Amino acid sequence: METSRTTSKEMELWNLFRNGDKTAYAYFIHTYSNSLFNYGYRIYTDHDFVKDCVQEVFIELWNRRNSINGTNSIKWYLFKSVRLRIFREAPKWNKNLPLEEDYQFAVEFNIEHQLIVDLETQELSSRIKSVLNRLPGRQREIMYLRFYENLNFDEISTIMQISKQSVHNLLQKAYHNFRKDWSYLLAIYFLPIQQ
Amino acid sequence: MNDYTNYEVNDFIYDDFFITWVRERTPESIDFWDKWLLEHPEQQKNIAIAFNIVSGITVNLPKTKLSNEEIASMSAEIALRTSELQNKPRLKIYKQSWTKVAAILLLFISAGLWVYIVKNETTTGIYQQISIEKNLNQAENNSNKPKIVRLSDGSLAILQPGSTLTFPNVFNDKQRVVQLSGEAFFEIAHNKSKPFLVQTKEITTKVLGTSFSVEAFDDDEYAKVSVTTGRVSVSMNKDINQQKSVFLLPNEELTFQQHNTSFKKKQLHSPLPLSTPVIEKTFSFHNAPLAEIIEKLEMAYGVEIQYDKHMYGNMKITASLSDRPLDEKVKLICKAINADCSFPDGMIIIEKEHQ
Repeated sequence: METSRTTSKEMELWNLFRNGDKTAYAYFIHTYSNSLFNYGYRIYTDHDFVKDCVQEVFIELWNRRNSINGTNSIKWYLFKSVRLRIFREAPKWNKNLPLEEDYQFAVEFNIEHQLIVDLETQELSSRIKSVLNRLPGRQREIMYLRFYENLNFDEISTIMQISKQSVHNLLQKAYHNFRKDWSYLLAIYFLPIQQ
Repeated sequence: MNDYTNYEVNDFIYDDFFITWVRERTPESIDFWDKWLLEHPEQQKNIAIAFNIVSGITVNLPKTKLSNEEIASMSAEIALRTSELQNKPRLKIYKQSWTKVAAILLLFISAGLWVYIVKNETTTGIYQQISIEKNLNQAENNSNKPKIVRLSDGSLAILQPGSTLTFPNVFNDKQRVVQLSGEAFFEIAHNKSKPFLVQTKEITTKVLGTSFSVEAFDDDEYAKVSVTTGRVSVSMNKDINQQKSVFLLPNEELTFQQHNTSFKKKQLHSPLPLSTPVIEKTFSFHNAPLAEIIEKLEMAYGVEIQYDKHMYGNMKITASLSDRPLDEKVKLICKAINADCSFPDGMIIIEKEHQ
């Protein structure tokens, strides 16, 4: 699995790209088109529209290659641009399908263990899984970027244009949901013992 | 670094640095957590559980991704737009762009060659001029049905049987030039800064954007241009550098006579099938069955659209399709009925969505 931190190979390609190298540019297009599309599609489920957004982001990237600061990760830069564009262009694209503030981020979390784990871990896993899958859109988005795209919270807060504190606050909310379930879980655990 | 001494399993699960350790195994996170675990044996159990869970979290995605063809065509479009126009603003081929096109223009040109011209005669200056451009494409319609040709700028041509259209893979910076022998109908993407020129043997028709149709068979003695909406200018190729061009308005028809090299303009009695008032009336549908819409499209454009009548014929659609080019119209319909459309080898096919 690739990491969010730009590898030295990507850094090299990034510098080439900024000097107008089309091969490096093509590398970024091929490497990131589908992850960008997949991400955008979770926010706004319109295939053609999201594809168009990804395309425009790459064109913009080329046109602005000289003015982009030496960023340490091209990945979050692209994700951020796609997200911004979707929110900006969606109202123009389809007036009947506005992008709601509480958009659904359509993704399903699962917990798979490669090793055999004890019953306690299994129980916790299934509980955590159901909590993850009931999170509201923005929190799902954070978890998606963290666990699927391996972006860290700093990068996620830049992509979603919220403060790092807000990322924590959003997770805090998730955590509260979790707490409720947690106590329920503990109750189940202790029930047989009390009998 | 956070104080992890009082963390429970669920706290670890949402901790960025913990996740980094489990999922990314960066050297500094390994250093830290290995050491921390040794110092806090009381947290070993919580961490073991949290580790198991965090390492097991996966994301199931519904099957949505760009196909290889889509990525290829996207790359082509990007290559085109980044090489040709660089920093210039450009018309986006969004749905809305077509509605913003102010002057929808429909043009019908029919031009011809002298019957008695020798077949292998040398090419004229214009023919040579266009052939200098690299990456020329040639679409030839040897079938008995109209064929769709999509151009790189989003414009569209419907090529009639027996016709040939020559066009560059990528238009140059100054103008969009295509060359026609035979008959075709064009819907041109609006672009003020890049006029669209249709060159036929004897005359050249210039439009600034939108849709039109050209017919120029090599064995007719006349050329004909009729405009449905918008405005075009027509000039004889021998006069191309002089300012002798004739302007045409909707429902006007221009005939070029080969024998005395003259233009003759006349007003048409009934509006052309794709003129603005007609099309606005014809292509606004309220709860209309798909079969009816397809039939109207086929009539207006003179094309055949393949689809499963049993499956889709009775589906009801409400839409206004008047301001879109044909391929966009078809795409919109497909979207409404959740079908796929494709344009293989100049045909239009609507079929069940691929999964």
